[in-house]
Amino acid sequence: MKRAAAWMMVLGLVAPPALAADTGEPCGGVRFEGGRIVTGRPLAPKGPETEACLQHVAAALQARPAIRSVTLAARLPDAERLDGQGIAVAKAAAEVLVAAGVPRTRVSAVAPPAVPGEPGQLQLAYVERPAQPAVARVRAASGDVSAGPAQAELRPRTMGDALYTGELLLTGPGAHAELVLADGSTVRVLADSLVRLGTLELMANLRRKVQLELLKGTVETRVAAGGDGSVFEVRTRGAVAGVRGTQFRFTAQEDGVTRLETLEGRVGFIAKKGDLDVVGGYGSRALPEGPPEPPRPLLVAPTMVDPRDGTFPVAPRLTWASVSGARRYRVEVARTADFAAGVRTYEARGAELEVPDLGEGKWFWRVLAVDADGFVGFPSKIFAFDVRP
Amino acid sequence: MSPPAATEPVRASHPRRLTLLRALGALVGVALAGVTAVRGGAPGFLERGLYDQAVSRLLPEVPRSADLVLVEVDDRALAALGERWPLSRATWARAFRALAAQRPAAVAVDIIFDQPGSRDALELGEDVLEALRASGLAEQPAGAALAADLEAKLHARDGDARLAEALSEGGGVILGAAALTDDVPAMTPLDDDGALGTPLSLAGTTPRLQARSMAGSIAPLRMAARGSGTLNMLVDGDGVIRRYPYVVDVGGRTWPSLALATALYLMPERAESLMALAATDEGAPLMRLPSPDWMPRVSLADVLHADPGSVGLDLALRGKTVFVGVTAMGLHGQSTLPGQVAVPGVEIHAFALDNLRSYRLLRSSGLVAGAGVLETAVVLLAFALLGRRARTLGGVLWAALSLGLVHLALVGWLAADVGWVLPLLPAWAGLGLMLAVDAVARGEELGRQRDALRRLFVRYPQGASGSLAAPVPPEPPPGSGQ
Repeated sequence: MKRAAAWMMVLGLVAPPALAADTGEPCGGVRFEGGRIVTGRPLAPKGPETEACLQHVAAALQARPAIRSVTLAARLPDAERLDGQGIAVAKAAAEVLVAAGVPRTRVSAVAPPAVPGEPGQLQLAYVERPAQPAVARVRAASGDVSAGPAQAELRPRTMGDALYTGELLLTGPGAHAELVLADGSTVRVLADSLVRLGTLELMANLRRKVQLELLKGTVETRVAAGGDGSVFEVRTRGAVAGVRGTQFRFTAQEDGVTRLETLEGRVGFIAKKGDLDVVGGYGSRALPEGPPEPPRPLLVAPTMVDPRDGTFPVAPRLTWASVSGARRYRVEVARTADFAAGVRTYEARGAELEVPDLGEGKWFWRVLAVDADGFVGFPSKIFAFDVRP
Repeated sequence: MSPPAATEPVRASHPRRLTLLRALGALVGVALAGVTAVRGGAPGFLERGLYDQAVSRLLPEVPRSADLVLVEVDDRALAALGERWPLSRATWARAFRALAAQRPAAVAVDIIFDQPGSRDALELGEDVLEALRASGLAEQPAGAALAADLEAKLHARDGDARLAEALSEGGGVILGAAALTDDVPAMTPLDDDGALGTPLSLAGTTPRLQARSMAGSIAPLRMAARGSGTLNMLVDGDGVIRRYPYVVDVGGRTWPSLALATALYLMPERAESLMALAATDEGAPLMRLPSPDWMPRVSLADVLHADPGSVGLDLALRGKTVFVGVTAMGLHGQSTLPGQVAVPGVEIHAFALDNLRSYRLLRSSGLVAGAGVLETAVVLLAFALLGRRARTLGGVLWAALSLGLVHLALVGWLAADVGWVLPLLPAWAGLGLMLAVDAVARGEELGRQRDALRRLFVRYPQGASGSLAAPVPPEPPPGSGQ
């Protein structure tokens, strides 16, 4: 018995999570779906086939230690439920599970009424150990966006997917993801970035504690209002940005330099050798093992020249007014005005850009000036144009 | 004697301008009715307050229910149980078992058991039991008795399992579910599309309430219950609930609300007509309001602590449709109905069921909205015709007032007797604008006539009252040099 159970354990581990057995055995396949145990064919209330299937289900249950209890329902027509016959059938089926090794304390039996007109059948449902709550959801994703508990276990993520404490989120080159945290804050993870979702605790009176770890790349954060004593921190290897305001960008470079750009409000910038507050419109950076540099003003938003509207057979040349102090420009083109979907990012040295191969449809664009040290300024106004070949 | 030739074009263009302005006024009224129709029907944004006052004070109230009962988790129940919210699953199991003993027709539950109950104590007990058996003590008589006793206690304390048993004993328990929209607090969505049973078949209806996914009670409870229904409400921008969403669309599948699921269970023979009715106004018709203390209430404390053979309890619950929900201070969501009537959410589901089964729903979209536009246009056209015939401003005013009152009476009658809610303000707005145009035009005309008379009198000045008979020499023509 123990050997069989061990084999079942191995089977359970090898099998994909939702399919606990192949389709060749008595039940015609067993799936664990959202709390229900679904067999490949309807399970008659009793009989040798039912018994064989239940034994198989018992083995699959034992291979899933997270399942804490199983409920067996005998749904019989009213005529067959009289005088406790229904619950007797359910209890007999439960005994099969117990005999096959499922602890008696974890098995229960019920006899709800059948759906009128349908034949009697057995149904099974289970309760798993409560899953940890999601701390964030992917609101928008474009390009290669993946997440997982470790770098080796990253798998692609898309809009609507849940993210959990401790998970890593990676954006590939040209990719971008926008996360909505459980406290309502939004975090845009720009291309080539790696973020670990740390603590996220929500307490009474809107108090919250949010900690993100930026391992590389850039995040742009819009922090929801929090109650007194709230903490919202983004950490890199060398510094911490503690939010006292609302909107900022935080970048962790490969060489260990951490850069902060505060667009609105006030952000506490804590490096290994000192700290300072960076108010809206200013940026600062900290070299590895160094104190934060004095705040410097961020570059102003470029003034857009053309196109500001209109329809073009091919993607038009994008032009804007030069910004004093800008070394280059970051041009973002997106399918939506909130720059959440279909975002493409380009670099331009001058104040114009020929955008290659834009598809048909409406496009929104904006420009951000970047100074010699890589500080990104305020975004321009957003304009749109249509491409109709 | 004829006026100067230069004034002719002005006079000729005046009636055209007047007609155009009147038409513009009427167009504004019809456009307002059209906007109301396009935005889902009356009451429009500006007439919500008026609608609330009318529906809460003037329309006949829903009579007191004879077979719907609210079993409430009130402050007294919490005090009597000595528990804090949320109640333990074991307590819920006792409650549903006690309810089942009274043989109600159905039990609709305004609660979602979306997470398993705590199993910490159970797991500790299981570990102890396993250790007892592994030690060999369970093979001795005393040890065997101890193991059996422990097993029985663990069985009894498994709240989720006992609750599932109690729900299945009840026979007709409909559990709550939630359609996950952006304004619903985050809950774990159900993975399986069919987890709530079979979706409804409502061809040709696009429900007003759209959701991305569904959340519900844990699977063993859903399996043991008769069905599930959504608990969502449609709250207008001003925080008032005027419409009840009988159906919700989730990815192209339609699911019933708690009220509709309960109605379908209670009256399967009327399933088709109930679903057709529930599809009124994109599945979210306007509600009629209940009278105060419309629904009899029984505290959960009484259900749990009264003698199962209690005649009072039997009279209160046997054969009734029981709604179970929370009314304890601070624990339930107070939902505001038109006229600032705040009631616990569970009552709204009961009330929606009563509206549905007695065909008391109010309609305002689709055909009714079209009728609203037409009625507004007819009222304004009638005013245009009457206004042209009226010789005096008083006549025009009288026509406007009459038509406004006729419109009010028609809208009120349709709402009260037929259940059609037509827009009220657009026709009034159109009448007001047309009246203003008419008043200004007539005022200008009067001014012109007065000027003409004045000119005439200046040309032919009358003498003092005593010399009326004396001939007055004509005024010399202008430019005569005198």
